[in-house]
Amino acid sequence: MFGIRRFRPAGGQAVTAILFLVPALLVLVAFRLWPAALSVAGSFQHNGEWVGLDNYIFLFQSDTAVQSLIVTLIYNVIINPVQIAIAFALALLLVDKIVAPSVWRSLLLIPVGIPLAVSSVVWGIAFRPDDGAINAILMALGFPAQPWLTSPDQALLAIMILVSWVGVGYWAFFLTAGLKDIPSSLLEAARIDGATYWQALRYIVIPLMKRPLAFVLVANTVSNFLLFPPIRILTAGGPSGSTNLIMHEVFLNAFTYDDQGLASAEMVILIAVLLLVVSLQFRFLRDR
Amino acid sequence: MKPLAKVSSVTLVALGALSFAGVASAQTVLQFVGPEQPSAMEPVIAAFEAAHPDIQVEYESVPFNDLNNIIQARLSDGGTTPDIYTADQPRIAALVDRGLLADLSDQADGLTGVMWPAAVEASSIDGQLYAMPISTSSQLLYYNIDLLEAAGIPLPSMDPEGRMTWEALAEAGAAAQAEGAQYGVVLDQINRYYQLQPLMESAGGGSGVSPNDPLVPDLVNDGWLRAMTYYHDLFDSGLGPRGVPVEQTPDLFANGQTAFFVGGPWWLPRMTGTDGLRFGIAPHPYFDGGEVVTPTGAWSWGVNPNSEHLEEAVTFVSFASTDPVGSLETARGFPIPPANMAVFDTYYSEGQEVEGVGELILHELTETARIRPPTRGYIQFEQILGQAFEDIRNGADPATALEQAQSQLERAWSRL
Repeated sequence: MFGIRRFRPAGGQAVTAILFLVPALLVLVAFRLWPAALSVAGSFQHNGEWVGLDNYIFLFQSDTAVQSLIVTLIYNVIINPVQIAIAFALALLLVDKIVAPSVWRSLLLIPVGIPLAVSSVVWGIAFRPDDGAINAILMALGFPAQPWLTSPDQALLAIMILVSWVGVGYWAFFLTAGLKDIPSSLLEAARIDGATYWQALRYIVIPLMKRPLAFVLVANTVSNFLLFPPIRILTAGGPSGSTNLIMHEVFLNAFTYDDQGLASAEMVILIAVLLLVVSLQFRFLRDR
Repeated sequence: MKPLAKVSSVTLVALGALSFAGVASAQTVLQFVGPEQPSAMEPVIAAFEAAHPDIQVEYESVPFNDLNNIIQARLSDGGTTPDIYTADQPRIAALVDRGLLADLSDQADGLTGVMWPAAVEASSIDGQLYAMPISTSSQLLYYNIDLLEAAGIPLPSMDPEGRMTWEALAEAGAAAQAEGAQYGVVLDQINRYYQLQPLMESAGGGSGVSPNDPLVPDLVNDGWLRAMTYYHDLFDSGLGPRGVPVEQTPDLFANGQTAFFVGGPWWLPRMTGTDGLRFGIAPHPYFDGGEVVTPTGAWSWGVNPNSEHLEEAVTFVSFASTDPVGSLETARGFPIPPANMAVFDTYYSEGQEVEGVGELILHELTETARIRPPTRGYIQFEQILGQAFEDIRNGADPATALEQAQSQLERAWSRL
């Protein structure tokens, strides 16, 4: 009672609330808003001088930068739905269709525990066209050897395979938690009413999974838009720019060429595209 | 004075005295960042600390591929550490342009007649010295005796006069492949400019940078096309491997899969230490009818101009580079040849794994070595060419890839 009375004065309550929020707000400003503002300001500068939109004009006239943006979009349009679909299917299996689900869950999580840089190196060796493990398996099964990372047509696919090897198990883990939250009484009622497995999935499970799916889709999209280690380690953006995701371009400009203006402008474009995509995703997956 | 105040003032005085004692006995700590393994640095650091008990050197090893990015990130905003770092010689112009290297010209007097002239040239910009030359490099042709004998190929001579041409090398490699070698010809730094510059230079294409203007690329010419067509065919025919990164190429020779390997002398200990590998050494190849050119250049050690211990840092790099004791200790730990000529003889008589290699490297360094172009746009040059080389290796048309690289480079250099 004492506490409630003490916080009752309107002004005092607001002050207390603000005091509690200050640490979080400071962190938010120092580590999010301030760097973002610096980045936006930096995107209008070159070597410390104000150049207006020159950096943006340079980027949109540059084949490399435009190709990088296109590759990033293609990569994301394919990988996000595919990863989520596979992760969702795995989660369904893990929840009720498999023996010893905890063993499978652990196995699926092992790739997540390996640093992406390490898995990239190992996958890079497996993808070697002449003596890699993957071609050895393909050939043993009677398929022709593939060029993988050395072909402009297959390198992005190879990167997607590597990234999905890590990502699918991770996202399936979140979706499993979501599936377990669905009241079993609903599914039992549906079964009693004569609904098939697919009908229950379509009309009960998927609608109830919208929130976990929205989280997983958004988080996955963000991580895929910002993907960097396998590109840096395995392809450096090649062959012929086919895996030149925009984060690699940003890295090159910022840390290899020391062109902070271009790097900032690319980062601003990337964040703008990402915000647009994520807001669309939220819109489609909103609870109605 | 109140008792509490008295106690605190006494404490303050005591603390002050303590911290003074601390300062008096404290050493200057120099931070040093480079790509070598810490064990390679131990001899020179130990010798330096013995000679300068008041200075301590802390070495931090970073991966070769990340060195330049790390230096860039740590120094570009006026960072005071590392005090000393390894400067890749062709990047010195760009580092100087960005104000990341202290001028060491007052140390330059000690270098004449002591260092390989190419190493000094590669560490200087407009006649000013910006880093102390530490090592130099060259490339050799390694061959697998068993694979060559199996194919009836005569073993190449070590004599520079009997140097193989690139054309003959490809033929011999193909012959060895027909008799069981997995690869005919493998290049050490398989897609890097350092390794490939001699091909273009030997084919008469020049360095790729216009001799008249260090910020004008010159990649679209007959020499470059000849060299890059050869390079393209090397992989298109399966003589060399696709998809194998630089770090994994020496394995292909060490494990007996490869007939010919063009690689640095730093692989000699590895190859001589490999059981069952019988190999020989020959001079670096050249193009038929072209000039003989071999790669060179390696590391210099530079000082951060914003270092808080500038004087001590300069003392250290000079010790490691020119001091008779220091330079020998540097060379002792290093896997690549020293830039210091006085040390070179000792280095090769002590550690020579293959008879005659010291003389061969000496010949290349004095007669055929060519440094990479000293342009302040070298970073863009190396990066864009690296991608073009990798594309050509993976099957892209050489002429198209070179034209693309030329226009990318023109755009990138327009930013400088």
